[in-house]
Amino acid sequence: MSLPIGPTVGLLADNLRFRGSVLPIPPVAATRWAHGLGLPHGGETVLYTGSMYQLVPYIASMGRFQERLAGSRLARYAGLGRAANRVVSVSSLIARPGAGGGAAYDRNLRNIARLLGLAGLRPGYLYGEELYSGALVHDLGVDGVFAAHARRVHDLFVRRGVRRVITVDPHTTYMLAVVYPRLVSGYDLRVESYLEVLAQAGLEPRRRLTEEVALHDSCLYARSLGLTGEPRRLLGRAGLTVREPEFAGRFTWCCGGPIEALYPKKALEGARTRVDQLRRAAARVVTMCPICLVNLRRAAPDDLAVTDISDYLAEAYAEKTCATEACTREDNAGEEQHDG
Amino acid sequence: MALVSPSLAAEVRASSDFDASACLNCGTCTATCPMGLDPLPRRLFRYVLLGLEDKIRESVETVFSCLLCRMCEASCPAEVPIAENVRSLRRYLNRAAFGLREAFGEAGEGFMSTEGGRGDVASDRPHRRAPGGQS
Repeated sequence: MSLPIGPTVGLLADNLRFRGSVLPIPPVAATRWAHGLGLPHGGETVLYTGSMYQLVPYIASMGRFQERLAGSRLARYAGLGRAANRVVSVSSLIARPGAGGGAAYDRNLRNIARLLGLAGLRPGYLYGEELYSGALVHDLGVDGVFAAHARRVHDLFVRRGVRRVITVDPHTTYMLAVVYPRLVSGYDLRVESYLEVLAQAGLEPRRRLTEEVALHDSCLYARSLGLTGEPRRLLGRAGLTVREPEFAGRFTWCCGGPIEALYPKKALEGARTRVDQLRRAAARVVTMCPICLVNLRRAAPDDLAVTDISDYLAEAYAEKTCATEACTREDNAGEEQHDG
Repeated sequence: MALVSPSLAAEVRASSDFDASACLNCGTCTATCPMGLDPLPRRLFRYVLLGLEDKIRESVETVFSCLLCRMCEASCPAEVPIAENVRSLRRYLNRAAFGLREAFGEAGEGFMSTEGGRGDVASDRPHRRAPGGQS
């Protein structure tokens, strides 16, 4: 059973329109990853998170609520929920990760900032000013709201004198590099994924890793942005053996995440199919998108580790280990259980 | 019997991001869809071209179940912009079926029609390079 589509789409669009994000998260949760890194506020080159990693624990929490709602009589009152959400942020009350939720995802962002530092870059960060890209509302076809939001994001870049944006996830990259230029007049930004920047930097690993991993390509990176070689080069240079699953590279298989907001059960079925393909290739899976990460983890059995690529890269190129970050790569796989 | 809406095709195609005219009806999208969507993209697009509004309204679940993953596009011999077409149908249904007026821009059209039409990855590449062609 699905959620009522109209009210759900409307609620997500309302959140973007009135609160700047499909799932409003507290400012401290969006920016705490940067504490202590000394990233300058703004500048010509910025690291732009689009709040995607920060949203993961909230998405996971919302997903569990939606699964319960989809099968209950309460679903028929979704229209009322949307109306109430315009006054009080209902979605903020629903999507509440548990204590400590998000720490591992903060680490992913800290990994990326450190790796960029090793590549000779010291990008700025927009801290509390940073906005979600609007990707979900774009995909759901609420173009009026999305277009207004895109102009808002662009105005922020102009106001802060940003010329170059380094992104951390495929959804934000696709929005900023491909979609925004079609609808924002005078758009003149250089947009790159951090994986492209690192691959071009020619970093040498400080520690050689020896595991076999199955690489899950993001649909957007592989098919819409042509980014398939960079992660393989980075992992290979680190010493890892990359095993290709059935459906890889340009023909990668979706994790199911894009329909999570409306069809959580179908999304989970899709993730299970992908997990089966990946586990036949290796016992460790590497992702490069926070949406893929959360969906595949939800479907993965206990003996299959699903890990963000930034964890492997930080361990190999920056020698960041469990001891220095108080947890292991695999520890964040258990975070889903602590969020609710 | 199906009701034909002469305005449907015109409305969905009001912006330049819906284009199913090249579809060969070959079924490759069917064979490659991870979701096994039914009715499948080619049939949905045929409904639009024929103005079968009722059929489109009956296909809400299919339209919103699409992952927009573009697996179908990667294999399509006619290079139909399938995902963008599905997004156009979502925009249409958001307004026609759910009453979401904000699905369209202030001028009532999809945003693609306001800034030069549908682009592709190749044409968008300049935004991923440094000014002056570096990198």
